[in-house]
Amino acid sequence: MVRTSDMHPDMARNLLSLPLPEIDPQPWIAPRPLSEATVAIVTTAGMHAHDDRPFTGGSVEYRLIPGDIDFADLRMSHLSVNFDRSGFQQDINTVFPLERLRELADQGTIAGVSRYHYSFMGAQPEPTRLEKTGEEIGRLLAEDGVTAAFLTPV
Amino acid sequence: MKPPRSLFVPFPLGRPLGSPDQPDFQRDVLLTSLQLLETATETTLADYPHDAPTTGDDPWACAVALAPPEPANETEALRDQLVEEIRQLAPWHAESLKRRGRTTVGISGASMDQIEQLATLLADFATGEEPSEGEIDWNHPMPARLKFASDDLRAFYHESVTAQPGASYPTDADLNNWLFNQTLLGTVLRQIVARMSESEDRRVSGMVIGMIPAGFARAR
Repeated sequence: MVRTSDMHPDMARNLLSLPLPEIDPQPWIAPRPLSEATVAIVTTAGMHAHDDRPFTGGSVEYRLIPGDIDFADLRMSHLSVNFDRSGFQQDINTVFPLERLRELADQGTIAGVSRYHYSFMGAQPEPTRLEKTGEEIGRLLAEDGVTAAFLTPV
Repeated sequence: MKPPRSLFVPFPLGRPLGSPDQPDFQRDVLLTSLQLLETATETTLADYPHDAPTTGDDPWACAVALAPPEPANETEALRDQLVEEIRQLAPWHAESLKRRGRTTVGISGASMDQIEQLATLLADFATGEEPSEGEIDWNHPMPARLKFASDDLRAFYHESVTAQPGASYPTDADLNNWLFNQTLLGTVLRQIVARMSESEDRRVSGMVIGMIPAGFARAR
């Protein structure tokens, strides 16, 4: 996220006018130590493989990003114009830090990197509409032995 | 979302790991976030203590002066002007491809050798012509096609200009300032938005919000 004081005033005003949801304490699950964690990236940056379907307005479905994807195959079809794409254009790790995760795994800081990562369209007017696909991804990650999801919201 | 552990990062939207091509900084952001797995004992929102790194004290400037001409009113002439600007940047885009081994251009359906055809679509619409299909295998129908064609051209411009040698890296605001105030593409995108705003077709007028970032709708 960004400080609202660093945003364009129009955008900051728009964000500050949105209702702030009450978030009750969540069920707490004590995780394994980091050195035993297998980590997946889940992003709302609207990324997908070049030959996959681009996102469209109101999309609540997700795109699968294989862990061995060549960065040259990644594209971003996010609809919102009010966020920076130039960081992604120069270096995909700026929003999808797969190479950084691989380095942490190589160093033994984490146990491993997931075989699959997942991407949604961000700027959702009703985030609750993502609940069903969110739960679906949770099941897929758990079945695949992933113990932590690193979320990059855009 | 209700994530159990969150790290607030004071970086521009779209750059959750901070800055491009700064692997040490990116790794620190990632690790600081992951370490919450070991340190947090209840739902936690922690602050990341550092701003994103910048390089050099001098403000960034595009080394290639594009000197945008007054946009032509006629479709063919405007297209030629845009194509000329694209050709001025093309050697730097080739450099970007060589250095990065990839491009993010292609969301519209255009391949790299069809980049100049995107100028035809934009010039058609900006001058009030019925946009021609051309040879591109478009991913989207009109009017969404206009948005993704403009996103592809903006990606081409950004990738080109960030491949130029320079003492400092551009921020996202630097790049928007440059593209929307110092290139013909920026002027043409404003013309397109003005035309979209006047449309009685709400699908077209509704597309306006996806074209130009907040704060850059007016020329400086």
